[in-house]
Amino acid sequence: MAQNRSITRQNRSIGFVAAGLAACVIALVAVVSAVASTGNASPKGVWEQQQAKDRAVAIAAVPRASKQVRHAPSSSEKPVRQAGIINSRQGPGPSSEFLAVNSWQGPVLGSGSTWTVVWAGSTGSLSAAPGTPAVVVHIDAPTADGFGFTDTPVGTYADRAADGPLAVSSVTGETIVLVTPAGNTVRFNLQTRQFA
Amino acid sequence: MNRNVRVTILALAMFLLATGSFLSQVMPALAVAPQPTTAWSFYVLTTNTSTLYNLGCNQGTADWHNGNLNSEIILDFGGQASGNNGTNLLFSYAFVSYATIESLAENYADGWWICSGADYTSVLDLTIGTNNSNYHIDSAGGAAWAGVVNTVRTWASNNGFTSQLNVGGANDMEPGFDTYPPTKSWVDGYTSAGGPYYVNYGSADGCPQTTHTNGGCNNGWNQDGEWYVSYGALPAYSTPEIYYQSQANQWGQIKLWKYMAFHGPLDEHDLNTSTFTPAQAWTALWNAEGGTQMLYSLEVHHSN
Repeated sequence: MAQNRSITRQNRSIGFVAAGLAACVIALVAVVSAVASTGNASPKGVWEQQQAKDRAVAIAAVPRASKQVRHAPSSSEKPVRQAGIINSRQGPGPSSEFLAVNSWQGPVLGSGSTWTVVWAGSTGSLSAAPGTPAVVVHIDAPTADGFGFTDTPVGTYADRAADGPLAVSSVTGETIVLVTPAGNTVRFNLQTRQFA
Repeated sequence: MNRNVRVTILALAMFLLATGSFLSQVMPALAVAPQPTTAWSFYVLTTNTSTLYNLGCNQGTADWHNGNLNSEIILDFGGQASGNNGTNLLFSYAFVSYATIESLAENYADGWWICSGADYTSVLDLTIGTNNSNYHIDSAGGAAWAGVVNTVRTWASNNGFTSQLNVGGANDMEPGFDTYPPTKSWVDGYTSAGGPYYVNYGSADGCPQTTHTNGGCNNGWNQDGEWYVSYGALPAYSTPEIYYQSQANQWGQIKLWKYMAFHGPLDEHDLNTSTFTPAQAWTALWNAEGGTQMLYSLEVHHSN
């Protein structure tokens, strides 16, 4: 009687272990198939697989290049600047630091090929808060080889009294005339680098 | 203790052990992974092909001598010009044709290839970048940029570079530069024209830092728009500007809105020392987004 009870208990134990192991296997299979299907079935997954295939075909099609000789063609195009007002929001850096409305560039008081660049707008903002009306001034000079320009930041000048982001309207001599969205005019002296 | 209870506990422990062991393989680790060696990206300010060759050579040498490192770099050529035939470089706004941009990128690739010497295993992701601040923030602009990238990609393939060079696009998309609809059109134009992968190395200015309910961002953008141009579109990936902690927070919330993968953070510490270092940018983005896919650390410099 006692022996039978012991056997029954052993069988029950084996049953528990077997159930535990089965649960492990089922859970692992479920997780593996979920991960696998997520990775492959999405449009992005299909696109990535196609890209990898195309790349493999390209690698197989052409022998690896020599690492001894140059392959790329040289270019002789020299970049050309334009003087005057530039209606572009391309500023001197990320818009989180300065949000350009437009810009002006050119020589100031006979500075020749060394140009002053002024971006007008407002200081940038990482948040939704509006920035402060301002201009950013840089000096750009051609490099010795004539293929580029060396950029030197001069400063950021804020006009807290202005009623909105600034835009370059015109330039007379060393004075740059700026307007706000409300139509109010502000003057900035390129020589003294101060708002008038 | 009852034998049945002991056996049950044993079975449960085995299950937890097996599940935990498996999940540790597929789930992100909580600890921040070591930051990879930082690769230099560039605002290209020159059309001198020798300069670009030398910059590529520097990266190739570094990748080889640091144990055959995989790297990703961006060459930024400024915004697309009004004629959709070139770009205007940063700062000088000087015009450079698409043909010259292709030549400059190919010379960078050539320099990297030759100077990586006996390294035959590392792979360089060379991405060619523009931004959404100038002209042709539209479908035609996206298609034209896909053409530039594919020209360089084909050149690399025809010359036997593909085993170690993966050419892609890049775009510094920032809410402050332009609104979402034209920027989306650019992305869709790029995709439709068969552009390969690209990275968005822009920002999510004004997006929420603590919530992910498709909140609004600056200039009419929202979290879903940021997600689309950075991962939702088929070729889109992201190396976001992480100059400040708030930017990492914003991208972390976008990833919680909808899943996305980051190639890694871009910092500008060399140009503005008040912003995050590569290590700070790496840690901030990793902690904010979970670090599941980050592979690279990028820092932007001037080319001359």
